[in-house]
Amino acid sequence: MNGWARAAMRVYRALLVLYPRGFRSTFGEEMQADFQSALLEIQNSGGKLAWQLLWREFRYWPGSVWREHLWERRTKMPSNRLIDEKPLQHSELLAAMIIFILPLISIILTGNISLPEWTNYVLLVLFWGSIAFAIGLAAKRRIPRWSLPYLGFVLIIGVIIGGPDRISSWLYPLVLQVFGAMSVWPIFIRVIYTGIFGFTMMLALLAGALVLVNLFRLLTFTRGVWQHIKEDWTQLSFLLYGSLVFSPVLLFEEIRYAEISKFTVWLCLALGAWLYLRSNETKQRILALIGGATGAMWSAAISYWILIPLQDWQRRSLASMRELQWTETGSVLLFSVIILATLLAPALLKFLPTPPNLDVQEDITPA
Amino acid sequence: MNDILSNLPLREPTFLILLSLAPGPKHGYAILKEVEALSDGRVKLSTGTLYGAIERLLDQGWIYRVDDPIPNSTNRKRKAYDLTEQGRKVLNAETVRLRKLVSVAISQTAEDAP
Repeated sequence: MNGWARAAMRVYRALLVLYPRGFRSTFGEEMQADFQSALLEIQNSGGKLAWQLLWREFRYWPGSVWREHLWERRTKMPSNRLIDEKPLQHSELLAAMIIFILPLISIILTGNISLPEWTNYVLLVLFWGSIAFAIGLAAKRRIPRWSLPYLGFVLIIGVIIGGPDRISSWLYPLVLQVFGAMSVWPIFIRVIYTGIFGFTMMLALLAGALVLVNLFRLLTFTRGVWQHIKEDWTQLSFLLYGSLVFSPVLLFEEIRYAEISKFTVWLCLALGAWLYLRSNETKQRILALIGGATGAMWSAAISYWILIPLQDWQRRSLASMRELQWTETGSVLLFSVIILATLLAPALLKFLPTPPNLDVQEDITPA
Repeated sequence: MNDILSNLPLREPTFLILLSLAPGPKHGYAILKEVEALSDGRVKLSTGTLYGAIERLLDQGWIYRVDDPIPNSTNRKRKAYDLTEQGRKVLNAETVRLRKLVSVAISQTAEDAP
């Protein structure tokens, strides 16, 4: 090849880098060979058509590169992938839903019927007994899919015992120094300050989930769970979603007349879980969880707006009732955003390095 | 058959690429030349466009890769492409569609003619 042909070949080779890696590795060599053949043919015929060839090749280059990237995204994007998994049997579906249904039953019983005091204890024992039984069964069966929300629930209990509110108490004097007494804080600062509790809690929950996932992939016993989560990251989101079962207890801890609100929140969570378990595409699954969590949090926010004026909080707060209404409702809405980010965070799992020799399809536990 | 019909009409470059492979397997450069010849020089594909189309055709299962039986001047290892059974059916279906279209067009213009 002469000088201009060699230069054109070098430019062509350099531009190939712009194509997606998969496309380049499959067709890159052939494309170079074809371009070289075209160059040689033109060179042999006197080089008269060289500019036509170069013009044609480089004019369509950006469009072609763009199309290939779009194609790769469309074909390889995992967001709407059909998940090749055995559908849950009725008993497994029921086992997964119990953690979401029990609080609903409990609120119906305690809210509508005048039951003797001891029945509360019975319900508590029944709830915690079911959780303990489910965890035991899950451990015996190598953490099947239905047990993931139970793990999330246990994780959030661990986080709460760990005390993420310590960060809030550590931060409080600092905020006091910057913004003065709480009574003069702008509402958005109050919302953010209140939101810090939710943020630290969810951060601790994510850290716990990350530790758990690493344990799954490092232990031979749970390697199958890791394989499942790697195949479908929404399973980790479902685990985190399980932790939300505890959220009405925290959200309405100090609020009176909140039975209907708690019921609505738990109902939204149960619906989200049900839709998640019934769908078999990544996109549908994450939408089900996001829908359930958003419905739950927004109904909690509406409940806050309605219920706060009915509370007897004036004595212990310097803020006016209207300010409290804005602050508390705003913080719940902020919390809902934090929850959504938490549920989507497992999508980052693909960036987690795979340890050597662990990427083998083995030991998958049947669901 | 419905599956095949749902893919019609084909875009002209796709049709010409499939048509160029109808006589037998060809490597990329031969397809480029054949497409140009079949279209009387009207359709000149760039290598990027050609291999983008080839990727789609492979994905659809209309063509498949084979080792190029003819050695080339650059001594590079080349792959050739050939029509699959499905690809041939699509090509035939498109040809039938075009033939009908042309015959309707001919009869219509003949009737309109004074």
